[in-house]
Amino acid sequence: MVSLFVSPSEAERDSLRQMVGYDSNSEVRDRMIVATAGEATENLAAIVATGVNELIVNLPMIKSVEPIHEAADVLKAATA
Amino acid sequence: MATYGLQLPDFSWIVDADPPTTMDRLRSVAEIAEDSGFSSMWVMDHLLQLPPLGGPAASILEGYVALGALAALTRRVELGTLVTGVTYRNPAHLAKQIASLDAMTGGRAILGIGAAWYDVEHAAYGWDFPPVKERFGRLREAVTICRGMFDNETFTFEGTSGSWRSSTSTAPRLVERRPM
Repeated sequence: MVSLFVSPSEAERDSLRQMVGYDSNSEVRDRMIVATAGEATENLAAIVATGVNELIVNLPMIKSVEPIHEAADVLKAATA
Repeated sequence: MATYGLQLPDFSWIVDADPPTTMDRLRSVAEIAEDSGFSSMWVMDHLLQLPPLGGPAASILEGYVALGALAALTRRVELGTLVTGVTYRNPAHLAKQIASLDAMTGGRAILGIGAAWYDVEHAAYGWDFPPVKERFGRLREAVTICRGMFDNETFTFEGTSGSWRSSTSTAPRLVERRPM
């Protein structure tokens, strides 16, 4: 399982990185993708390429259903 | 082709609406997940929210109640916890919850179980939080009990702790044998 935060906004991505200690904690970096949709697709596709059967993501800090749509688009592309 | 699943770690935006619309929001999430191709939905099994997600003051739904709601709101996705702490429930009770969820969903329940870790939560709810070696021993016993109850019409077990004794009918049975 990996935490997935997708945003086109660099400011939003930086804010989340700071909140979770992304840059200072390797365990956080190992478990979390904070990226644009394109970058996230590449990262997840690399995981799929290792042979995993199912990718499970959680979506931290969501406050609406829209990030679920965005995550699904990324996951569809990464697993295609 | 790999499939993909969705874990819901944060219920505060679902629960804290005014006026309350918890089931409406949960229905929206379930419909979007199924329509978007997710193959599974997962909830945490915690009674206190984790610190990075708001901590103990934040709203969080009890996991198996939330899964019961998702059972009614979905038709296709598999449902489970990531993961249930072994210290939270008598394992035979847990097996019954999973078998009930499985029956309600036509075979879509998955048991996710681990050794538990959230010491603050255990203190708040008055649960034992033994050392990690004992928790893994309990996990081994719990998996044995759940597997035994899932695979047999009746099942008897007496663990090393003595208090973990189970001798019971297992109905309803799982629709099909499933991984844990």
